[in-house]
Amino acid sequence: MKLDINYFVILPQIVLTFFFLLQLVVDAYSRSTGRKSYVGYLALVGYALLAAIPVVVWGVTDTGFNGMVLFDKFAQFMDFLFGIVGILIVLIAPRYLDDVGRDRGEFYILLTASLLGMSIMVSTTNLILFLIALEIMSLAVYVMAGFEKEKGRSVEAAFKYFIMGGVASAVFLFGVALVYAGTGSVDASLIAKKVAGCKVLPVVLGGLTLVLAGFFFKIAAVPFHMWTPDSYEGAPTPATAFMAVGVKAAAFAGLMRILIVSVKPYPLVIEAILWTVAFLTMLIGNFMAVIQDNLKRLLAYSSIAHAGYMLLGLLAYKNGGLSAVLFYLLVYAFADIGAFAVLIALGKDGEPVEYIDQIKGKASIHPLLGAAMIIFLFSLAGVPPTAGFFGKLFLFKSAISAGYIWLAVLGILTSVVSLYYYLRVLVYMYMYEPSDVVPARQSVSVGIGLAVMSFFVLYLGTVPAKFIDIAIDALKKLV
Amino acid sequence: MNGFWVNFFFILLSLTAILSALYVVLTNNLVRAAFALFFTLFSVAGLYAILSADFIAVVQVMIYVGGILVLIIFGILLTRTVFDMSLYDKKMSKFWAGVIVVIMALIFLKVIFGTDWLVRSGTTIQPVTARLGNIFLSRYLLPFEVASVLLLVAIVGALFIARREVKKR
Repeated sequence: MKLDINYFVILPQIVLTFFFLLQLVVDAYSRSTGRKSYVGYLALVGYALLAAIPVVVWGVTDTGFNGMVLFDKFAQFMDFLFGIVGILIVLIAPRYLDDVGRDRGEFYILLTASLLGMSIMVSTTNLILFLIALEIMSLAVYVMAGFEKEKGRSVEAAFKYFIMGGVASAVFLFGVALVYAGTGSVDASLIAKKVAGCKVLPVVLGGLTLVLAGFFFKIAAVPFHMWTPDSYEGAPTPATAFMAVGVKAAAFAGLMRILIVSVKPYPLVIEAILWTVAFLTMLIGNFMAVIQDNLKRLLAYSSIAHAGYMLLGLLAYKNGGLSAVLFYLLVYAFADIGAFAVLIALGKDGEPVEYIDQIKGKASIHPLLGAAMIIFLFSLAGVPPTAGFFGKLFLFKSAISAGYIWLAVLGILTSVVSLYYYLRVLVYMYMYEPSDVVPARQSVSVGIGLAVMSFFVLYLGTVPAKFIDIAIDALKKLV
Repeated sequence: MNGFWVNFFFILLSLTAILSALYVVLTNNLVRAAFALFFTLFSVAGLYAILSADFIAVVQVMIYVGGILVLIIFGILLTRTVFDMSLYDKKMSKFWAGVIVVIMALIFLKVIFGTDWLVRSGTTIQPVTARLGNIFLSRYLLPFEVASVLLLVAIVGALFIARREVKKR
């Protein structure tokens, strides 16, 4: 067999691997000389490059390694998103890690490794390569979740995530084996050739169902969401933000690519599964968020609910649902990391913010943080003129035009419910007297991050057309 | 080997694998579970051998039986607190677990009996090791290389978790 080595198509992965190794070496050296580790800055450079590559080469597409790697617009869009997410996490992480006395270089090293896995995941249809990439991402995130390893809840978070993630990977792999048994291929595009034309075999359907279950674990969709609140609560807040945005985006992108490429149009069983899971996820995610007093749990359930909304787009792929999902992922990344960043910024030394009581009246001490929180939470709830409004609008519009009226109605109704619990947070921030008036320590990097995120949430909310066009463009070849 | 003996060993090994795996999950004693796992892993290696996947069979014995299982047993022996404990989670509902198991079993029965399985025609069986090596360095070169990154990430993560923290200040 011909060796089809094409360095261009794995350019983002090469950059990330290079920075991953460089960070390892630099961290080891700076530790032996006793100086503060600068791997965070290296991470910033690496992620900026990751985000810059798609901007530079946008539209130049190629495949390599015998069709195993596809460097198309879809992969480029996601690489850009991952670069942005990485930068934002690096901006907000040092403050939190410093607060809890765990400012270690490994956090950024693992973050780079995780982004490497994610960037491979979105650029392949080969299920074997996909699974290895998924494992790279997951292993790194398990450790990030348990980063405060002296804190019981952080260990619990890592442990639950690890066990559940291991089960999910096993289920996924079993599904791949069944698909292989039925089609003789592990590449989604070849599976499509086998599936098209003839009746879909039960073994392929069974396999795809298990593959879907594996994905549902990763995107935290009901009924595979049990680990989410505990893991999100116990993990360090920057790691939680990364799990809620980065991991979810990568899993969603992988799910989109593999599902659309391998089975289009969906067989009835797959459609029924997606319908049910979307229904349950929107319902349970939103209603469970209402009763949470722990803000990280609240955001965990809210992230479950958002996964439900995005599943709508996956169902309505014929009517532009997928590009709506891409746009939603972008918007959601800014707003959700933003909300976590405000929690980090309000934290005190050794006393990170977690409970809703801790943010009582904070808006009067930190008016800018309060304003930022309004922007982010309104965007998550979908209130105009924030970007979240257009994200939801595009999703629901595509769902309605694809005929999923009831799901869209449920989506709109649960969005109203979500407004309640997001507003409750704001009520605590604005309507109460602060319990102590000592302001939190200021951090430049978190401030920059918050400014960037607030700007983009508002910017995407005022001129969404340009970005939705890019999202549509990114998916033209795929659908 | 003729058809009878293939079937005989297949049934024997499958039964051993299933029964010992059941014992692993149902027993309340961690040490016994670890030792029962030995039979599961070994008979799975036998199944690979029957399928003429000689390399996989050897790797299964070397890594799972020889490596991972030994590590598990060492882990149990070195951790006194897990020696005598109930392995059952009281909060887990047996009823719902049963429901899920029945649903999964129905799905698998449907898969097993509803599929026209691709049966390999009687080609001569050849050793696969050399072919695997070729494929790893040609068609699956990228996954092969990426897997080494995966191992590196695993090492970094494991070292971070296992390392003793030196208290500053």
